[in-house]
This record gives sequence, C-alpha cells and structure tokens, in this order.
Amino acid sequence: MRDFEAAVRRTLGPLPLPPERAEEIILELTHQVEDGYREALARGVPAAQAEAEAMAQLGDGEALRRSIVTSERGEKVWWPHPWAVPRAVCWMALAMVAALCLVPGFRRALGESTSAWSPDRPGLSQRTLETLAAKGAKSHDAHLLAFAALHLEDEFEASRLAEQAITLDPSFTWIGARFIAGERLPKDARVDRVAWARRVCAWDPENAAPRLLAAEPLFHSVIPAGAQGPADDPQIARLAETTSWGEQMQAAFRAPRYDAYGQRRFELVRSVAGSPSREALVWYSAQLGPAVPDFLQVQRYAALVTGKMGPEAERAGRYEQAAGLYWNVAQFGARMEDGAEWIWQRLPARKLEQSAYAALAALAERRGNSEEGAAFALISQRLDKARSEAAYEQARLLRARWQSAGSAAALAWFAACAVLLAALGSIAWAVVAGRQRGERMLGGWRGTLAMGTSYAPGLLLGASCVLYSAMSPYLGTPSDLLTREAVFEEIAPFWFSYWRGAWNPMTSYWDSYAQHMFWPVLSSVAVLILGTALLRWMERQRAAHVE
Amino acid sequence: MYNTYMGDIVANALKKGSLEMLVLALLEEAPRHGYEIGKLIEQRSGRTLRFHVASLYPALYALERRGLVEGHWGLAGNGRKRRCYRLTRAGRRALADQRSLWRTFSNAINRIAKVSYA
Repeated sequence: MRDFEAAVRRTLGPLPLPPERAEEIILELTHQVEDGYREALARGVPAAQAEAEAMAQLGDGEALRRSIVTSERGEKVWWPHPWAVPRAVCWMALAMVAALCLVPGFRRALGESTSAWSPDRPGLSQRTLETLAAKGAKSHDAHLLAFAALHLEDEFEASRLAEQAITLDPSFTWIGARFIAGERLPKDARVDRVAWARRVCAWDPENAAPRLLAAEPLFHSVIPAGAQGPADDPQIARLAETTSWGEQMQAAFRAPRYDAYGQRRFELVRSVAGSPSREALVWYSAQLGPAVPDFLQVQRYAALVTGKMGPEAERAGRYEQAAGLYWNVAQFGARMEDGAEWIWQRLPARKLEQSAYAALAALAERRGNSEEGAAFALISQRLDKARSEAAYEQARLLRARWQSAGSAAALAWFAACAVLLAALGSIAWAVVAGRQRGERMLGGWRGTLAMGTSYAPGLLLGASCVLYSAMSPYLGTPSDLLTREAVFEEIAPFWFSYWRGAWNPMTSYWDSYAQHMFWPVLSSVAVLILGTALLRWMERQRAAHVE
Repeated sequence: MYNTYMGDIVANALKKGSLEMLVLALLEEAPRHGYEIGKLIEQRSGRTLRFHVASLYPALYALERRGLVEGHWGLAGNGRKRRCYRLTRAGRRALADQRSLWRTFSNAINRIAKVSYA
C-alpha cells in the first residue's frame, strides 16, 4: 500500500497550527484516505485506481488546508497569495531603502526626482533674492548683496543693493557692469548707466569688457540686437564717424585685457550657493550673464576696421596706420580668446584674429614683403584650421555628452516615476498586508491588492538603486565645480535633459502639456482609486446591514 | 441551464446548512469517526447527500472547537486506531435547537411550496 500519510502531508502542505494538532489532523485524514482505499479495493477496483480514488477524496489541497485552518481558528485566515512576495522579504527591501536614505547623495537624488514634473524651473525667485538681499543688508554681507544685485529684476533696487555691496567691499565694483549693458534686461530710467560705466571703467581701466558694454547703447541705437549686416555697412561707418562709438571701441580694442567677469560671477554664486540645497542658484547664474559684451558689436567693429578703415588707409598710402589697425584687431582677438570663458566665445575671437592676420598678409603682399605676407597667411590659415578643428571637436564632444546625459536622464526619469509609484504601493502594502499579525483572511480584491502591492517594496528598492546610479554622476555640489564651463559640460546636459525631457520624442509638447498635467493626472488616479475603495466599502457595509 | 445552475446553488446551500445537524444527529446515536460519519450520511440519504472531506472534517473541527462534540483517539470496529467523536451535553442542546429550527423551517417551506408526501 502506498504511503498515504506522506501523500496527505504533501497535499495539505504546512498547517499553521500547533504541531501536535497539525499531526493529529494529518493522521486523521490519512485514516480517511486509507479507509477509502480499502473500500475501493473491496469493490474490486484495481490498486492504482483505488489509490487515485482515495486521494481524490481530499480534493483541492489548498482549499482543504484553508477550510481546516479557518475551522480550527474560528476566524477567516489571511492566506498570502501563492505569488505574493513573502512579508519578510518586503520588510527587508524597505529596510534597505531606509538605509539608502542615509546616503546624502541618494537623498539629493530623491529630492530632485520630482523636479522634472514641476512646471517651475530651478532658479531664483524674486522673493528668494529679496530675502537674500534683506539678509545681506542685515548682516552686512557684501556677497549676498552683490548676488541679489546681480540677479534681481528690479534694476533700480538692484543698483541700490550694488551700491551697498560696493561700499562694503569695493572689489565688487564689477557688478556695475550689469547696469551698463541695459539692452538685454528691462531698463529703468532712474539708473544712471553712464555713471556706472565711468565707475566700472575707472575701477578696471585695463579691461576691454566694460568699455565694450559702455559702447553698446550707441551701437544698439543704430543696429538692433542680433541684427546681421554687411561688412561695409554704411550705418556702422556713419556711427563711427558721427558719434563717440568709434573712439570707445578703439579704446576697448586697445585695452590690454578682456574679462567679462564670468569667473568672478561664478565664484560669487558658489560662495552664496554653498550648500547642495541651493544648488539651483548655480544653474541660474551659470548661464550667460547680463554683463557679457555683445559679440555682434565686436564683430561689426572688427569688420569695419579690416573691411573699410584699413583698406582706406592703404589706399591713402598710410600703410603703417593700416597695419596698426589690423594688428590691433588681431591682438584684441587674442586677448578675447584668452579671456573667454568657454569655447563658444573663444571661437569667434579666433575668427577675429584669423581675419586680421589675413588682412595683414594681404597688406604685406601688396607692399612686396612676400616673406612677411607668407608668415601672416600661414598664421591665418593655422588659426582657421585650428578653429575648425576645435569647433568640430567641441561639437562632437558636446553631442556625445548630451546623448549620454539624455539617456541617463531618461533612465532617471523613469526610475523617479517607478520610485513614486512603488512608494505608494509600499504604503498600500504596509497598510493592507505588511502589518497583519498572524494569519487573517484578505479575500477578494483586497487579497489581490495585497498580492500586487507585495511587489512594491522590491520595486522601490530596485528603482531607488537605478535612480541613484543614474543621477549620482550629476549630483556634484557647487564647490566641486571650478568653472562655469565645468557646470555646462559636466552636469548641465543631464539636468537640462532631465528637466526638459530632451530625450522625449514629444519634447515640444512636454513643456507645455505633459509636464503640467503630471500632477493633476496623478491626483486624479489617486482620487479614483480611493473613491472606488470607498464605494466598495460602503457597498459592503450596506449589504451587511441588509443581511 | 438557469434552472440547473440555480438548483445547484440551492442544493449546496441546503447541504451546507444542514451538515452540522446531520453530524450531531449521527453522533447522538453513538461515537463515530469521520469516515463512518461520511458513509452513514451517504447511505441513509440514499446517496442524495455526499460530503467531501473538505466540508466534513472542517465541520467536525468547528463543532469540536465550539464544544459541541469531543474528539478522542480510540479503536474502531475493525480494531484500527481512529479519532472518534462523541456528542457533548452542549452538543445535545444544540442538536435539539437545530431540530426544532429545521422543523419550523421545513414546515414553513412545505406550506408555501405545497409539498406533500406521498
């Protein structure tokens, strides 16, 4: 005869009852099966079929187990779904997520994880700036005052703060460059731009940048910002002849140094945005500031010099003067290249140099000095070649950086979504099943929900790890980054991709629609789920009352 | 199809509701073990009523937990060790109550459904 006791044990599985009682039940059911087997044999049924018949009495082992345990306990029993993740594993996963939260980088990644869904871009609100300014005024902190003066939209208030900052620390006089260049910010008539221009130029007399800024109002009175034009634009020539613009530009081109104060501005931002939580300030200020001279003006003046003033001097036989003009442009290009903060400023500066050397080469050739002409031509060609190669290399690197950062940003975005959903699922699991002591029945939709949510803690752990891995290379603190170029090349591609969804094929819709709809949709889904649960509960209450 | 389906539901509900009384009634006669109880129900009902192990034993355990029956290990008629159940005093009272309830219930049903016994 078959070992029916073992078969009964296998069919029933473990019984969550006191061991003695469980053994008693198994033995009793074994006797039941054995009796059935003997009876079948007595009826003349073959042994194999009798065994099958006897075992068939037990029916579905799982159902039998449930009804036995329920009868024994006198209450419905919580039977974890066979596919549910064991409770201990879920708690372990949640404990690991909690441990991960102790890592500062992970906390920062979590903190940033929802920023992609926010319609507000990281940056400085005017209110924050006002708070910083008030704090700076109270504590006589020139850094805070200067920072607010640099970014506040209210130009008059900004100039007042700048005065305070400079009084406290005259080395912040460069902030005045902001008030010289008024074309790219809202103007305020109460701000004396000329006075600020004189002040900054007097403080930094060897710098070309404030002189270029000071010349901008005259230039833009004729040429609109961003407007292109021919090299021999008569408007430019007339501007140079009839106003002081030409003299100002000439002085700027002769200044021994070019510094648009980018590094000073960046250092100021770093000193204010010292803690990671205020890192958003870096993004704001790392962009082109208001004090960067308009390169169009520089380009148009250089074109005027090399295309009109130089050739006119040549035609008049004033070769030394023409050479001096060309040389001045070449030197200015070199200074601008040295003082440029990144490649996109260096490349046009090199273009100035290259065109000036080409003009010098042509002049030397015309004067019969072929050796000198060849040398200048060679320099010009090399500059041109170097410029092309650098531009190509830069574009290639930039593309690669943006592509890889875009992939990482997409991964981080999906991981952030998964973290959010898994966190909600984990809470649901903890409420529905995680806190269940012993065995209690959760039937119907609650049982299914409990089974589904049991995967949430594991998913939360996995998504958290992915989120941290994807974001960690881009979570450097401001103090880790020495230049604005580093900000833009190392971490900006990731964050701009992350915030703007550059990887998303629906990018154009992203900013305007999906991003703004994320929270409303999520809230609606939450309300839907809660509402359905509430209705189900009310229906059950009603049904129980009717019964 | 509908009638068959509804018939099954009614039959199952009646079976389920009456199992406890049937077990108590059989144990009133003599202590018995589970297999014997199942067989007796089947025989005496002319094979109309058959209870699966998954119904019979949980019902016995529930009765035992409620103190209506008492289980003990003893020897069956064939000399083999069996867990037998006997009715307790509380079980007798419960059986009397259930019989009364059943009588009232079946009389009411019969009056309405006009069931008559040939």
